[in-house]
Amino acid sequence: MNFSFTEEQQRMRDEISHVVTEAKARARASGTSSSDFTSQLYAELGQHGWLGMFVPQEYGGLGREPLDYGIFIETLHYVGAPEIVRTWADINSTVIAALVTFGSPETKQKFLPGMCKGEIKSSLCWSEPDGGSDGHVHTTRAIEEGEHFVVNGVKLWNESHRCTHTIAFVKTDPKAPRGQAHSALMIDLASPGVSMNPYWMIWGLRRDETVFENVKVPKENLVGQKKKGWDYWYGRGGCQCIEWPMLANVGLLQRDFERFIERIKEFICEGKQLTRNATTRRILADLSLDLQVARLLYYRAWSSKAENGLPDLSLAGMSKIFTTELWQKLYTGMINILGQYGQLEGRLAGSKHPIATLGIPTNYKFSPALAIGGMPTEIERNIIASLKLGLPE
Amino acid sequence: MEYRFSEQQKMIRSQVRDFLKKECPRTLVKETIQNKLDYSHELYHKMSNLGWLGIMIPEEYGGVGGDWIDSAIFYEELGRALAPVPHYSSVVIGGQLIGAFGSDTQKEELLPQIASGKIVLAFALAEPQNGSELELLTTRANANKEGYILNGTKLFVNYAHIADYIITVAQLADSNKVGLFLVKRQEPGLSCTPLDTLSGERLCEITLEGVKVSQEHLLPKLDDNEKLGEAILRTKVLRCAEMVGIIQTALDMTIDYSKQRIEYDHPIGSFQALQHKMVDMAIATEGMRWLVYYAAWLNSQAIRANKETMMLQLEAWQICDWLCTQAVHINGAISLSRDHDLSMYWMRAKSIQLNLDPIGFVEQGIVQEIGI
Repeated sequence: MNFSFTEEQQRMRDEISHVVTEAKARARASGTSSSDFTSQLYAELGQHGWLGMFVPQEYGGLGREPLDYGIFIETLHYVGAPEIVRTWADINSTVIAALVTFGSPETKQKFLPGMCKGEIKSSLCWSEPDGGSDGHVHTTRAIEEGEHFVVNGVKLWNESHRCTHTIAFVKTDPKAPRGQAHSALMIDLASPGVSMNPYWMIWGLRRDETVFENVKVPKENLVGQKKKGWDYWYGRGGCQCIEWPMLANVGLLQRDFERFIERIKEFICEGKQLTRNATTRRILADLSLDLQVARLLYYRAWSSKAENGLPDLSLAGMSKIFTTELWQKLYTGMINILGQYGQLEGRLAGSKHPIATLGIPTNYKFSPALAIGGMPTEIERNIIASLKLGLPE
Repeated sequence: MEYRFSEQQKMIRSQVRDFLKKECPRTLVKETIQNKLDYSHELYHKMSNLGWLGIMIPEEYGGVGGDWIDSAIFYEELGRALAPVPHYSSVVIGGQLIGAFGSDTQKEELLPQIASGKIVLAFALAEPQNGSELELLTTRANANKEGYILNGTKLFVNYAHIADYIITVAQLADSNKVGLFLVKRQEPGLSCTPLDTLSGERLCEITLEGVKVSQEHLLPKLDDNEKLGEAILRTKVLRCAEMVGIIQTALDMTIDYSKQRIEYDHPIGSFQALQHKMVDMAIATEGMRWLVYYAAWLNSQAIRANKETMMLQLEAWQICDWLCTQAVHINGAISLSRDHDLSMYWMRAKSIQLNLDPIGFVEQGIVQEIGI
């Protein structure tokens, strides 16, 4: 048992912090547009090898433990990398987990080196308009024609407009029994027939409806075996073993809480320091405890290892439930402490009231999202009830 | 970084668990509580034979050493079995305070006897009106030629009525510091009234009226109130480890029951409403467990763990009642009957919680520790 980072892990944390800080400073100095800046930073993370942390070296990765990836992703969030970069890295990890664990050598060779370098950015095409977490009902079809699959359907809530590829959950065998009808397919988003319609989310970023109309996808893009899509996503050893602890990342929460504490120390409200208020203090004590628990559950999950070499799904699920629900509690707690100041956001407000530059309203609006994404926490509870507690179906 | 148990740590756990399974069945626990026995002497004796009264006591003083993590594992298992022994009061608090603040002579004399179970120690700190705030204590120690004269009242002292020595915290009359005194229970002027509590465990009220303590019975190396505060705080991690063992068992009993109990033609454990409760209980237990081992690890590394230990206690305040009453809820009315084991677990957890630092104290402590 050891709760501290090794020297090597600490060095990596320092390097990540350095890279992100430098990149932000360079972008400010040169006035680089935000999309150029984020792409450059993402490529830089790739140059350091971090994006391919647990990818075998023969496919361009560093061949390290998933735990190191957990440290990378937590640090990336903690040091304040832009949301777009964080999201690329987050989703990258899930797709990589699927490829590393289930992909054929050819598929791995085709996609992994580019993903490790940050050249290939993949989205997740999972939810559909009439089916979210219940993958059995997903209707996007992939019909075999010669050397190709032809894909038709609509996928929601992805970030495809910012990506080069997507991994899609598609129905290849409609007549097969439940659990065997779907497969996982890597699709080049530049393929003819792919189009995207934006959904503008309340926290200011775009999510896509990605539409596939007779999109031809080479057969070698099939991830793993046909009919196994369900197992790869939902199975005990599926890529949720990486996706869940990744979503339970406590880095950004920790960062925002620490910055909040710094700012409100001197904050005067109703004639006295806000921090002298008993209710404020109670909320802060409670939130700092929960952040500590979230951190422990996060690294507990990444330290575990199931047979497939990925983190244990039940521990990952516990971490994911706790932390994604903490999002809501944390930002609600902070915004409520600020009262009327809690509603201020943006540059104009920030120039007069520094508290408004913390981005709390933005993350408050985002806060329910992760408890829905990567499966709603209720379904995660069902899975833990069965897997870990052994409760009957 | 490695958030998991080593093979050796797993071995310690299974040894303790196997032993307690055999030597400390629930019938023994129930008997001890219902017959108002203070503790199981036989069990304590068997534990001493295995060296378990010597944990964290150096080998040169008859102990077996070991670190805070091993001890937390041991305590989790004590909690699982509800072992009725004065281990915490005697070995942990007594052993730690004498180890940290005692003279070489005191260590040589007392530690081996603690480790063999020959003597039992109690610890008297809290007072009416003053709680455990060292600065506020009004029990006073006035120096005279032979040593000290102690006057005052102490509350909630575990095992005082059967202890050989009561380590008593008192204000030193000529300074603003407190001293630690080894007071013999039989000393004239000391009276001890056991108080009944909700768990069946008896805590004592002690009055000291002109109690004489010789110079040799002052622990001489305590020179700073803060050091004493930290030493006491450190030991709480093991109390909380015990609570983790208790609530884990309450949860395990609940899961087992829910698999067997049939309602509406199905085991109740198949109902989603109950499954989600049990998963939340499991997450809370896992969270508290790792708070325990994190604080224990910091103690082992001699890193200051005030914040983490207060967080751990706040967690105990926050989850204990909810978790235990949910367990009762799922086990149904039968679990509220006196004969049901679950209520023993609930009450023991509750009594541990109530004897931690007060909830307001730990909340304020955490806020200060995070820089407010």
